[in-house]
Amino acid sequence: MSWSLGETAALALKATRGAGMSWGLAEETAASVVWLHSRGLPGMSALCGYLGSANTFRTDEPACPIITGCALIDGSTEAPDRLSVSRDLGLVQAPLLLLPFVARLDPGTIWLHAPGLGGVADQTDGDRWQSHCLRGAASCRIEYRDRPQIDPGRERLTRLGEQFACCVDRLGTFAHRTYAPATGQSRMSGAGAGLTDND
Amino acid sequence: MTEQMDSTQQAAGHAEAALRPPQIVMRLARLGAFHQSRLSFMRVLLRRLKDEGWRFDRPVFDIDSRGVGVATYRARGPQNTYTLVAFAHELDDNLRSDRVIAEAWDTTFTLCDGEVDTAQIDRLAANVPKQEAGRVSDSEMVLSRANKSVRLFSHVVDSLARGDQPDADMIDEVGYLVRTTAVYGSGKFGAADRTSWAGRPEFSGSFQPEMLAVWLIRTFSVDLAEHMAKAASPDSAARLSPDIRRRLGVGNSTGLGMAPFLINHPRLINSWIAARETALARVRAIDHADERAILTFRQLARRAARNAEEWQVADERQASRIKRLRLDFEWIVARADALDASDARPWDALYVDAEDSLSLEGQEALVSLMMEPYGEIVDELADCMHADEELAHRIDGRVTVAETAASIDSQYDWTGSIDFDSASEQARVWYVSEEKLEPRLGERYEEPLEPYEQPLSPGRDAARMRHDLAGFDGEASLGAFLLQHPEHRHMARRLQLVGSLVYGEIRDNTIAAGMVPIDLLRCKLSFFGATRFDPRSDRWLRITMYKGAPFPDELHSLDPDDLFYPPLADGAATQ
Repeated sequence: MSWSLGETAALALKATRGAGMSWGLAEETAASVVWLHSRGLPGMSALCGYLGSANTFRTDEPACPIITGCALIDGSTEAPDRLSVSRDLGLVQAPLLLLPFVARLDPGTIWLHAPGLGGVADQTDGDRWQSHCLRGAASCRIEYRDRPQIDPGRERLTRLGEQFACCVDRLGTFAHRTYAPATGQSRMSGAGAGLTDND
Repeated sequence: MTEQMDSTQQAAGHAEAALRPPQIVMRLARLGAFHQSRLSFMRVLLRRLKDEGWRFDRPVFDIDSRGVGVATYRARGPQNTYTLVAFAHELDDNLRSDRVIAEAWDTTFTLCDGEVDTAQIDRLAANVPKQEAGRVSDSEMVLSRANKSVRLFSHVVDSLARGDQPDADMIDEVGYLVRTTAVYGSGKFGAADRTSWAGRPEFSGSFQPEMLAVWLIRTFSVDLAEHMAKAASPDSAARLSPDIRRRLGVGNSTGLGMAPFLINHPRLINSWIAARETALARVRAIDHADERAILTFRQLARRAARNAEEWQVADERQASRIKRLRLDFEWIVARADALDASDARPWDALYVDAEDSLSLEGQEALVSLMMEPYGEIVDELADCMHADEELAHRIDGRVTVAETAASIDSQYDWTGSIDFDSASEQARVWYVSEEKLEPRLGERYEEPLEPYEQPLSPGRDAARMRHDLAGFDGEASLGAFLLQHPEHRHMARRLQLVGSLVYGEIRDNTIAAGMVPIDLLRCKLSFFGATRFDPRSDRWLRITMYKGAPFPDELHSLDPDDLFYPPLADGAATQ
């Protein structure tokens, strides 16, 4: 059993919206989760842990990784623009979810530093991730370097594997919150309701 | 026009008249009047399969006398092979439903990447008949199912078993032996993501795997009927004559599940409409029509008129439109007969007059017809009819609040006349039902649906964002605004994305009380190549696909483009 990345994105989108974020932030989250998985990094585990622990999506510490990431790519938070310069981001929850935003910053060579995230470029085995990078909060810092943190030539994965079945189930319960309970009226207003198709 | 559109046109090296502006084209009433054309995806597919000499066979046909079992249909091209695996089931009449909430069907299908072996068929047999409740893998590309038109299917089997051909009028009236109720692709239910096969030449357009699957399903529907006739009368059963067989398409029932697609895929819709509008502009720019083009147009105008004569629907709104369309065709045929090779810019003159003389149905039928004689300048545009939608198009957060407000004022100027505070302009809510996880349209003021609203109302959302921008510091950045107003992030992204897409946004209120959802469906289905739009309410319709088209065993000897219009009664226009 495996899932397509299209299914993965749809689930991440609905789960994030179901957890209470706006549609626009949920879109950023879905794109980030797919970005991570296509590079062999366990985005669904991080999202599952984050949505399960966050009651509100904070702009102050410990901050939401999606809001923090959006502020970076929108330019509201200035990123370092010279080699070896870094910027502290403070405590951010589930820092792995912040990584795709940092990787998209110009000129593509900004690195995210967080406990447990070290050596990301060489480490794709989900089992070796330190839990506080997926769950809980950690101090994060970004730094301007001379090469990308994630090798752009790295082979892209196209499926979400069986090991994420538990996350898929758990995120499914968040996604469920976006579905309106059926009513008699809604059933009868569905396309084709009340008609026979034996013709 | 944007720079993007200008460069597309210039690169093509063809003279063009001005493109119709989005204010004219991107209205639901007009989109809901589109007809199939040379650029429709099923025609694009068949042209390619024929040009590249694809070969087709049926490696497995293990169906019993009750019509239950499995068959496979193989399509082999220059580089790749695809196999449709078809399962036929026994279905109680009480369970036959076209609705997406059905759980059993007469036939179920999957289109596989490459050859299939017994182990794969066994795996698929445990999943494909369950459809949404089963799982397929990245070896599969399309998942589909179809129900029989019981009346026509029985008539065809009984007639063939007697050694007779079925009644042609009855075939024309129904139009198909089976009717698909869903054709899922692009990563749905575990299938391969589009990105994994989008680079293959045969799938470079839109919905090509789905179109291939449906074409092979059509063949299976005929094979199944012939097989059951043979099982009933092994010694005397007839096979369908090629002419009768070609009158059978594949039916399709489509409901609200498809409706949000046009709103959710602005890049793709822009590419489809831009290709069609560019084709029209190229034809209108032709200085003089040669005799061949004029003859082709005259003939096809008559055949399209016949199609309108045969188009029967119960829906009052559509019936009235078809009645007017028949009158429009009298005008078109008369103008076609008056065309002369010495006329200057004949197609432009024809189109300009049509704007004043014809209904929207008639105008758009004419647009499709005018492309027909000009495959050499139209067909290549099919290569532009695809786009990669991004999950999260990057927002430029450094533009100012004032600049963003000005963008809304300019791009969404059409919302200025809409009072979104009035109940009728916000009457509807797009939502997803818990029952079957499909999009539905509810009444905002009658049901507690608003908390579940999907972002499918760009006009209303632009107006809301504009209101909040007005209360913010104009010199502040959009990024700063979005930090305080994350609820507008979706709309901010859309605003910047569609700003570069001439035809990316529908310029109508998609939640108004008077909005007709089937207009959204018809636009998309016309790009598929569907005909015989048959609205069953304001929110679902039936169509026919591939009616008249060649079957795999005759594709090499017939012109698929010619067959999308019915022959004239006297046979003058048949091949």
